[in-house]
Amino acid sequence: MRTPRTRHGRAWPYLTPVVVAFAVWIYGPLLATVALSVAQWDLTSGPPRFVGAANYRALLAQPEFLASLGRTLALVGCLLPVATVLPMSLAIALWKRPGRASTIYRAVLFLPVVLAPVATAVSWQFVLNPLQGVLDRVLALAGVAPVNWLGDPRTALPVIAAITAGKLIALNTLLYGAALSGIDPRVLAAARLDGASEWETTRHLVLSHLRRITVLLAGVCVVLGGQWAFTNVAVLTQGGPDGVTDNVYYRIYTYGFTFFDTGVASAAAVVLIAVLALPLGVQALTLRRRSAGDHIPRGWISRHRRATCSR
Amino acid sequence: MRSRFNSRGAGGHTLLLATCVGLLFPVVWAVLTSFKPATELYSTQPVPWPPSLANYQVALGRFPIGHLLLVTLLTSAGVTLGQLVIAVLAAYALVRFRFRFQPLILVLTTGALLIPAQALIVPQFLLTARLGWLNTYAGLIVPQLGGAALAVLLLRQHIHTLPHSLLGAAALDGAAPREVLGHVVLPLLRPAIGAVAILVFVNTWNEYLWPTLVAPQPQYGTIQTGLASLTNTEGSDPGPLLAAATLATLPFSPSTPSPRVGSPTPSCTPDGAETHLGHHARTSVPDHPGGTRGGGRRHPRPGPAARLWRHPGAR
Repeated sequence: MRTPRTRHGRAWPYLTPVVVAFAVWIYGPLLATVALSVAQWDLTSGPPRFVGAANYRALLAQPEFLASLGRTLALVGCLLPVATVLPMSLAIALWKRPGRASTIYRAVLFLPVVLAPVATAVSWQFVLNPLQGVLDRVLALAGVAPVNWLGDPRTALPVIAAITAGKLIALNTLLYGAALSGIDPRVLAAARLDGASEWETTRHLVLSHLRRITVLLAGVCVVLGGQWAFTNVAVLTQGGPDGVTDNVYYRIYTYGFTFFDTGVASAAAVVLIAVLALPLGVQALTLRRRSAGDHIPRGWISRHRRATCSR
Repeated sequence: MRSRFNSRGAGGHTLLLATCVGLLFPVVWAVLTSFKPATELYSTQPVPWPPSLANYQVALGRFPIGHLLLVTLLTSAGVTLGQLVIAVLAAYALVRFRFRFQPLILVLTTGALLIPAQALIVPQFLLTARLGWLNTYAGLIVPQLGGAALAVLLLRQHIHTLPHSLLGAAALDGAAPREVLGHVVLPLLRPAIGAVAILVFVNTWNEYLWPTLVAPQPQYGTIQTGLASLTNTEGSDPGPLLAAATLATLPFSPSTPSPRVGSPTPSCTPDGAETHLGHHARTSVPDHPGGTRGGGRRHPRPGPAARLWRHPGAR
């Protein structure tokens, strides 16, 4: 029933700040990025000129850009299992043994989320120092020759990925833990009463409960993984050595702020958004189809499904 | 929920321990090293004894660390305050009112979270430069207010969990929406606001991309940009560098004990929390017959009915 309270005008004073903030700093720049991508403007010589698809053509003709795109996808792809399987295992391990130890583990595992990425990167750089860093010293005790972790083209990218993965693992463990706390213990008790073993309970009830959040976290990994890698690359390797740690995020930054080629930078940004839109679209579709209810095997488990917190 | 198999328990502990070590060893090592005298920086002895503050003295003398920390503190506080104001108002409006563009605003808010920050830096920087805000607090704070999307969604989530009969009682007593917000919702929202405030503060403190663009020089920048530029100039003298890195992470030890800070509402996922309460109660909030914008007289405060419900324990 429509009452005068539901008139449209009442909400707008509250919404003005957020709408203005989004319009000026998020969506305005988004449109401006698209507009700049079809223009040529290096900030100093006169107004921007419309050049059509020239920026895109120049971009796609550069092998370094395509290589960095591939490397970004590879980075995200490598981070995906680390961002889902490992945190899930950690969260389940923590969930199965509530107690003092778990609390301490949780607090410790939460730290990478709040530690400054720049400071973390600096610490890693110190530890990985090829001449005197602790890691190479310890490896030397085992007879392994010192490795120039950040300076060797073969190891630089995996190291960046590992450093980035740290924060991702910490955040995802936290989120999986939150999801696990939503499992109704009565369902698990019922399964145990019916004689399910530990592994069966875990597999059928817990993992299927976590399916939705896994899809969500995969999306988080895709969206945030590359952004977090940018900080590590910018601080530690600056795209090197030999461009191995270059990725699209860092490329946009160098196009825009080292070469001041705003058109190409914007074109790269549009390509990035387009490339990201695909997995995110898939994720949105996946989540919508499953919102009717998680798939749980029929039979004696589905009898107790109604007790589960509904998705 | 105790595991019946001890071997599984050991495996879990191994995994947890190994992960903790892998994630935190470099940071812990760096912090410990920052307390070592310059001659022992690379020694494999873990804990420095006696600990020495030489690195910190050199760092504070050589770099404007105090100033960097101050800039970072003010920026983080400013962004936190700004985002909270924006988010509380927006979240309340999204829950309280029903209007045509509500789904659109929600989609835009979620979309704002998904757009990678690096894709927008060129126009954002150009606008900031055009406004003359480079190397100023305004340039550091205001553009980061656009990141309020997460705060909006988290607070909206929490407002949804407030019982709508409570808000209805306040309206029955004649409270205007802004009074309901101020007298009823805000006090109940305090824990959520606290959590979101810590989250935003931490994220802004750790932010590297935007301050690097707006205020790259040490005299104007935040501790993160200062630290990053120090790695290039001080690579051969890591002692003060590690001291600076430790100081850059210093404020967060008090905020770590509660792992649930910053996580979304723990029990059900956001969709699950949109219970039937939300929809049924929103349409049943009646308008006070006396009108809500009466002349010059101030509107009466929420009466005894609402005040009875205001105690958070009564939820």
